[in-house]
Amino acid sequence: MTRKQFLKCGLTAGAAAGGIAAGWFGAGLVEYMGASPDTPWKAFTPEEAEEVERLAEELIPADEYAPGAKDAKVARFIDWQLAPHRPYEKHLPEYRKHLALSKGRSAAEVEKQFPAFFKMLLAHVNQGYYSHPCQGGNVGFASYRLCGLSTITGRNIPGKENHL
Amino acid sequence: MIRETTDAVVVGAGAGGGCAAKVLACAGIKTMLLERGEWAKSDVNGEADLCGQRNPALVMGPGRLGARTRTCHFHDNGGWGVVNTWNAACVGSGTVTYGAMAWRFLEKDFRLKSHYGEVPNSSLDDWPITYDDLEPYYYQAECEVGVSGDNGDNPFTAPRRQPFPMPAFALDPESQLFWDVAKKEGLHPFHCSFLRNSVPHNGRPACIHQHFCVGFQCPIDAKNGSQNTVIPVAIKSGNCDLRIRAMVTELLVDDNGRLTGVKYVDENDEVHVVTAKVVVLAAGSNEDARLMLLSKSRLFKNGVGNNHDVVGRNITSHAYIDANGFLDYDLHTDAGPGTGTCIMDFEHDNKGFVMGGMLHTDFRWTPYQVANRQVAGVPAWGKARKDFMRVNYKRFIRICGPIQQIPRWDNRVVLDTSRKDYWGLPFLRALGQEHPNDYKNRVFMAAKARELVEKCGAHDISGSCGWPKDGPSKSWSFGGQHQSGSCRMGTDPRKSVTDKWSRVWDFPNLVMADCSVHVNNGGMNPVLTGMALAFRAAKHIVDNRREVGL
Repeated sequence: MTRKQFLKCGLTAGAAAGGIAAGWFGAGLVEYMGASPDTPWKAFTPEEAEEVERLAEELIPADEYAPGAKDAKVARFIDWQLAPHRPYEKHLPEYRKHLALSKGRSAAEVEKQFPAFFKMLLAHVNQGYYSHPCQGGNVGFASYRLCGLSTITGRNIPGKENHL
Repeated sequence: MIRETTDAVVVGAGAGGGCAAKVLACAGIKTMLLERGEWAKSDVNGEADLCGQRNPALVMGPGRLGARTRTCHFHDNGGWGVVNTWNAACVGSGTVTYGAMAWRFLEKDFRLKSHYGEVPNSSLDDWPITYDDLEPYYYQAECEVGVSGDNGDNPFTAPRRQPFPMPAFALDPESQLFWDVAKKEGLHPFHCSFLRNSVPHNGRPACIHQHFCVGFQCPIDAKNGSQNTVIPVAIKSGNCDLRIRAMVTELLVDDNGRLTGVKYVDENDEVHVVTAKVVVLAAGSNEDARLMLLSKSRLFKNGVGNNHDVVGRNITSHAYIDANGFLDYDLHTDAGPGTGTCIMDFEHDNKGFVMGGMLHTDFRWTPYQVANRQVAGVPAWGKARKDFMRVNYKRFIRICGPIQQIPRWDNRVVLDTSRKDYWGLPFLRALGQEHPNDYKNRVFMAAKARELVEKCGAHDISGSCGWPKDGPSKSWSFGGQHQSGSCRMGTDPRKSVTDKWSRVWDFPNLVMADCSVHVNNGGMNPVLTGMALAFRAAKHIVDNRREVGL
């Protein structure tokens, strides 16, 4: 489905849900080829993004072996997926609500006070850190290097891994 | 509405549809191959590991979530809600991203009733054909689509008249370990066979051993699906008109009960009425049944071929059991994708239940999959968790496999008029439950897997017997992958949907060409059997073309 068809589909009554996800693949390609580290946030406010980075870094901290969640741009992964027409769009209100409440609290405190939100956040942080960079996180293949997994033969686009 | 005429229509460009279209087109029959998805593009789907069948955190695979290709199914117990099938919706369908294990069913699998006798509350039966009838077509699929393998000294396999067209893959370290342990235990390990090139084959290169394979489209086309083998051959013949984004909504039956063609909707929502002499159904076991049930006519008020209420019944898939753990040393190298060793020692004749299953080492897990694996004593997050991943990712070992499910008359898919798709057509609802025999089977196989993983030296073992461990599941397996049997072949029109040539009873020009006609689903991945059946059914059409006016 092309972008044009996707838009057309999205305007057709009753087709919205399918259009969203079908459009995701197209959007994913655009961002894989064209994203830069300066990409502005698509769903979070800068304050929210900072809060996600802080919590994510506590969940997966930097160490001498590999970058942590912040430098692997896990927050950007989550941001992309929360953006309009993306798979996690529906979770944005929940993020918005809890990120306002989590300020100044440690991850352990957030886990205790908002267990459902924390569970989702942890899942998304793991996805962002351990999945392939083409989905927005795991910049520079941080987790692949952590795990001793080479970047994948024959499949990587030269130069793109640093770019991401 | 657009009216068109052709010789043959094939519904679905997946495993079976591709094979059937190739045979028909190459025999000079004008064939229209209709596919609801489009060509899958490796650069779009790429390496997105959260979008494949192993890890559908974001979406479910090529084409899966478009409104036009969505197929929802509901479990009767309501637990699943809306679920998409795991298979892709694209040219090649599941064969684009599958793990590509290529098995021939065993001789016994074709005569389970003769072998085990009547099993209460089941519809276990013999096939109307034998392994020998299908053997040449297995070989045709192995050559034309491309299979590598070596049965070695596996005494359980069905006899081959020809060697594999390609040699087996060398063993990865995990598979070598399992091989050695299995040998020591007196079992009979052998090489898994794959629809994947171990050497260059039919103009495409040999596998380059990427880490990850199942759930991804091969970037160098070393994985063999219908989209890069039989479908291009069909198109090159000049007789195959592949139409993508074409959703077939009805099989057209006239007032005299004669099948005249199909109705499909194109990407612009334009309706096409295609008149054809033969229609080949290859949309998968769920969708075949759905289309037949949707197509009501004067003489067939309950749908095509459904005057005896058999369509959609006896459907099976596979429960998967597994055991996994961690070794004390690094096991994995950079070479993937794993899954080298298999055992069939427990496929049949176990004590206390009928049938059984296979066990094999698994495809290499992605970092995200292992990160999701909880380990007692290791925190779910923080530095300790990260350390655990760093040390243990290469030490992960997993043995798993499908069990052969017993078919039941009441395990079925029906139309659910309360839920409609993009075109306003009812979705399917899955009814039925697991047979107690299968519960025993999977508990037994899970224990075997655990024992073997332990013998491999793993610790922190975890595992699953597929579904509830305390009794039979309230639902049969969801038909999300390996679905088969909804239109079983047989000798009695009251108990089967097709004859032994996969022709639907009462409709000599409606032929099934996929796993829908399975009488049972084997304790192994069914795709090669579906391809073989498609080759056989299509050849029968060609050999008897005058009967249907071709």
